[in-house]
Amino acid sequence: MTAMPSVCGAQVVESFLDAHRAHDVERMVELCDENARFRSVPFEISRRQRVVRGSGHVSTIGKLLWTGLINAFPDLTNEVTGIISGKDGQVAAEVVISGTQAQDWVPVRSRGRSFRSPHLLVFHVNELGKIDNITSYSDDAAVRQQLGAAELD
Amino acid sequence: MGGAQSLSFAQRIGRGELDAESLALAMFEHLNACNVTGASALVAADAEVDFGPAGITGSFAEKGIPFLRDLSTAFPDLRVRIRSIMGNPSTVVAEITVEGTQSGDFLGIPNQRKHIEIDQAWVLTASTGKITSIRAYWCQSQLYRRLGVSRRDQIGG
Repeated sequence: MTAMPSVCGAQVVESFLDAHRAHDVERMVELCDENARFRSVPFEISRRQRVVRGSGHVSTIGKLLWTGLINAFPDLTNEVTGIISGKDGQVAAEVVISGTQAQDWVPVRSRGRSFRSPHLLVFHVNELGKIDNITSYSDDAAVRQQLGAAELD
Repeated sequence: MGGAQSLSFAQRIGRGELDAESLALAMFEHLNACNVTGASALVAADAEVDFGPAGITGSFAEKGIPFLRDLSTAFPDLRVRIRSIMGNPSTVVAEITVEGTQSGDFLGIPNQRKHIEIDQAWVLTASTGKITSIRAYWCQSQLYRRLGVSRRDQIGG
């Protein structure tokens, strides 16, 4: 049987989202276990022989994606529309992420447009109160369309 | 307690005893059997649905049922694989993989007989034994890519 987290999982997740809103990537990483996994479900880039997916660790791909997004959208923010708590440290957050593009965000050229994108983030918080898994669901097509990109890829 | 256990699934639906997880599992089972009528019986007619990536929002009766019908018609071998389900008696989050082979146009996407495997997450709320809202999250770009669409002008109305 899995031990219950000593810290409320929802509070840890709220702190994580507060840090995201403050563009404090170091704090976001601090709230995660050092081996925490991160997966951005919509992230896929086609290369010649393979598809690169947004799946790996918080300390590598997570940090890279969050930093890149904040750099490209300096007013990036999030609005939490719902927190759902389950058993054994499971927490999901419905969040609307928005921002205005100021730099190219590969592969979308900057046209100075804004986006609003509903996200569902599924977290697991371990017994030490650290996030050890994050899966992010959102619609990349809607974001690209709002930013003015005609291509789907 | 023993009495409650001996009730059939249908009786429990009738009594409004099913929680969000039981309802979600039952709905996905119906969708696996392409039984939209069975799935619909678990959802309140005025339930709010938000299939945002498909641009479909509104009441289940007006928007949700046609969407599920279109989905099961376009993908007659539809499979909904549940990867995880979490939440509480009134709200659940189901991480699912939707699989199938396109056999008809879907959301304006012409049929090229491509196979899809799309990871999604659905948030379902329930009250008095019925699903009262569904919000679905997936990436429409992935759906386009799997179905062989690369530009918006390839998508019909």
